[in-house]
Amino acid sequence: MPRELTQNRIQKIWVPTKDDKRRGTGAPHFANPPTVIVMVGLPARGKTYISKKLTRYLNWIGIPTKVFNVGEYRREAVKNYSSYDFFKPDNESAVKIRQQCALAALRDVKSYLKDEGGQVAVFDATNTTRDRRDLILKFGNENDFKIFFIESVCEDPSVIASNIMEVKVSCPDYKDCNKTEAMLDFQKRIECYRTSYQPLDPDQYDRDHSFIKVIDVGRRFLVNRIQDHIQSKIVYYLMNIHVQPRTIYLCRHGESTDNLEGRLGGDSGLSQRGQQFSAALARFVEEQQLKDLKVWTSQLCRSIQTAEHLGVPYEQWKALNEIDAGMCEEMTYDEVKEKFPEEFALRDEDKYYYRYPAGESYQDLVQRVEPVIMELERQENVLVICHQAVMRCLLAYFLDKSADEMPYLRCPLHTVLKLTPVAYGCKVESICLNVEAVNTHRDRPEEVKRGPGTLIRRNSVTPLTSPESHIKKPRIEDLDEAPIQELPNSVASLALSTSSHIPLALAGEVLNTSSSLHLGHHDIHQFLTFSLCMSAHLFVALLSALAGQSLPVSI
Amino acid sequence: MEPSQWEYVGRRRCDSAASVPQFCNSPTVIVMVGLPARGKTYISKKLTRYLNWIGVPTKVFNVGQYRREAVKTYKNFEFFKPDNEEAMRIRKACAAAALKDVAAFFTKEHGQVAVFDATNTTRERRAVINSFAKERGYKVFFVESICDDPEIITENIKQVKFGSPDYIDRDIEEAMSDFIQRIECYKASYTSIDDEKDRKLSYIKIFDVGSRYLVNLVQDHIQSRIVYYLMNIHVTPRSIFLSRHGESELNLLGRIGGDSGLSPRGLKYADALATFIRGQNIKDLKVWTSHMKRTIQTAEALGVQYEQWKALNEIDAGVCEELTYEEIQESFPEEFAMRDQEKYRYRYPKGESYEDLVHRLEPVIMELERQENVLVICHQAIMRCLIAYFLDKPADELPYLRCPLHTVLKLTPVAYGCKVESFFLNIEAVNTHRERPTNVNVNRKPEEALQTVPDHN
Repeated sequence: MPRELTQNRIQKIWVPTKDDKRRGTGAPHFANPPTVIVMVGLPARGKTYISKKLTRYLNWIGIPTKVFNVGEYRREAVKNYSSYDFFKPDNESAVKIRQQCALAALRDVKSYLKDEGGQVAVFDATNTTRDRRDLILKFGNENDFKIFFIESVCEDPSVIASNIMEVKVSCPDYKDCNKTEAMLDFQKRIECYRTSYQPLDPDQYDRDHSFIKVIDVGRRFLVNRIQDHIQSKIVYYLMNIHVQPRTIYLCRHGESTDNLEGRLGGDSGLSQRGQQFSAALARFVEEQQLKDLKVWTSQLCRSIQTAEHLGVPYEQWKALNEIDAGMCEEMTYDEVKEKFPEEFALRDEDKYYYRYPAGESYQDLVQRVEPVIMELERQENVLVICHQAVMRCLLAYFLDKSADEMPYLRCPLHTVLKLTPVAYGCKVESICLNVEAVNTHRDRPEEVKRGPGTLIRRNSVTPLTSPESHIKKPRIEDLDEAPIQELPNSVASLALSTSSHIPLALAGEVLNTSSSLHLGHHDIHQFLTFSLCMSAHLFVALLSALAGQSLPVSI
Repeated sequence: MEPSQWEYVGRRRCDSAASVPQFCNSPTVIVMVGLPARGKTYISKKLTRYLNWIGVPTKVFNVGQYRREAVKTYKNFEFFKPDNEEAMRIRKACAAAALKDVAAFFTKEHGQVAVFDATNTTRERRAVINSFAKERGYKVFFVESICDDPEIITENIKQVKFGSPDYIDRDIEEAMSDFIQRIECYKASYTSIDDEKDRKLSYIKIFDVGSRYLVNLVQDHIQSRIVYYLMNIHVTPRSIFLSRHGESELNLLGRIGGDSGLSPRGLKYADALATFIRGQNIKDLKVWTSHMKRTIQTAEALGVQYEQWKALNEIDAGVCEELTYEEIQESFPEEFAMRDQEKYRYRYPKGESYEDLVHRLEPVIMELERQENVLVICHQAIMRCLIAYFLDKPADELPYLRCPLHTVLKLTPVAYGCKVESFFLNIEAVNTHRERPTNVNVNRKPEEALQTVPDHN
């Protein structure tokens, strides 16, 4: 007897009646068992850049991913960085500390993948010796994690120098140095690693390991033994990203006649003001004086009409069409509330996963829009003229916003967002072109109860610090359950001998932004809901961190 | 302006009304490199099939075929000896002729990618091709297949060489020994693409049938897609089973689309499918369905885990959802006629076209390539698209491929293509196949439009 099917109310997915919990994604999950991505390479080879970018991408496509940067653990353990001497191979006490940090990070990786619902952990450290990598392979073996190495190899001095200038001289280690000092010290730091560096060896030692070697910032790749879907996607992504300076412009079509009536979806043309905006957009684009700007639109009339005013060739993508509101297409919100009151309420309950009847959800959009993101990564200067929901998806990708925040990002009409990659993130400038338009933004209603079992996609920012010493977070001293069996004796004894308590660290640097995006309320909301899924002591840690520190903005 | 007119206006500015931008500006020549029996022709044909399916006009130019034209009967491996001057001249002429046809394909036939399938094992030969391309503004991308595993080579020879016209009248032992000596003729002068000297070339080296890849200087979107595809295909034997959902309630009423459940006969089919699958004794079968009730109900009867893909949902008929063809003819006679005129590109108002479907299904195809044994339970239009990919059917045939209800297609890769077996599971069902009517003019009479509509309740 076939099981009875019901369609779950939010996602409209048919499931056997007894089983009404939320399904992961609209596409099959291919990431079992969990994977540890292990970065390999000398300092200033782009490991952290790749780690963060990859993590942002994987989280956006719905695979819970997190970076574990061993350098951050080291900065907690050793409050003040004095000089490159710390990294000298004969500095025994430093070597001890650094090993402990790596072990602590691995412990957190294990906890993330086993207990916190993580699927991919990115272990961001130099991992330049075989010993260290063997340790990690063993760790992976014991815990049933797949291991995938990403090695970045580069000997072009101008690239290295440029990397150091972009992200190293301003890092916490060098906060009291001037640029030249920082540069010199960092270069000596690199030399400390060089003698013991054993690159991945595809011919002998590493022939059975899965890895990709990224050579000279993507000029060449060596790919060995891809095991599964997720590794294949990671490789494809890495092969499409680049570091050429460029700018991405995102905007919506000009105000449409449907917008004026407050109607969802449809395929109407521009209103008077919408046309004025298009003319203003054309002037704006000219002023930007860009070399080789590509212009992309959707296949809906209002987006194409906007592009037509620019007088340049443009490409139409069906994938950029607005979210399909199914049975609610072309209705006003009031009409929806009247005709489909339950649907209206459900949408507010869980806007990211909610699928319009016979329509789409934001989750569906992400999948639909993924090839656009991949091509955006390949391109240089691009202007994307799209729609509210689509623009929110794209923006969430570039600014690393979670599934929870995405449907509430502000993307007003007649405003261009200019995104410029910088350091580890993206600078955002919001440019309003001074043509009046209706407001189509609906905030998250205050009185909405959050549904049970809400699945929140992890933001890739490492959770906040607990400066309080009573917070029990197993770090370096609490190794009653050693994460790695059969440690080499030297390391095992080191792990048990430390006496200092090391609290969690605040991740990353705070980047300044000239953005006018409304962040505060939603960030707090996101962190709080994130914390609901963690254990109690971490929750307390978060609260105290929020109280005491400014919010890190990883953009 | 009407939306359909917008499509036209759009077309003035951008070259295609396809659902994705076309990214091929300069044509690309893919140059295969490798000793005989390393899978070059296998890769050439498969890659060409994939590129054509996603809408990039591609063609293979196999120099061996040109040689077979020039030299009517193949005697033995001595033809390939490096000191055989006469043969050398012929072989060079064949390569030149093939290159000439490549140029014609690009300039006169709107081709976008040409796959130059030959050994191309010397630097000299590769330099000739590179100059040829540079002079004409074509991009070049080399695909080198390197393999020294004797088992794989022997297997390749068995699978495709014995059946080749060269060995048609030989016995197997003779053919094998001759071919091995043929390979030896190339070995002495074989220079692999050099990672140092050739660092300015764009290429991918494939080692040991995909265990390792070296990728250098990917220039553009199409090369990136080609690399991704090559890294996902494999040659492990496996079978792909394609089936539609069991007959649905709406099928019985002759209505298209919708999200109805199975009819009683449909439920019977689901059980029959379960029995059939069990009988096939497949190891590690993955089962995929769409998000629509009828495919999921069908899968439920199998009693195994299945994965739902939204991408496998039936074509969205937009304003025509849940109508019968008669109703469509009554309410949208012009649309109905236009669909018959160009069924592949025609997009239902507020709906999709077959062309949109292909784009939507591409990630499914990519994952099918990665997987081994899979059963896909889907829908008529979807199944047509998938079959067109596996059996290399062109866009104009695709929307008319026969995919009847209650019939399982078993596809098994073999040699350069796919063996197809069709299993009708003996449960009656309505026919949902509508042939192209004779009169596709918008001014046709209703009877002419409805001439080929299958019977229903």
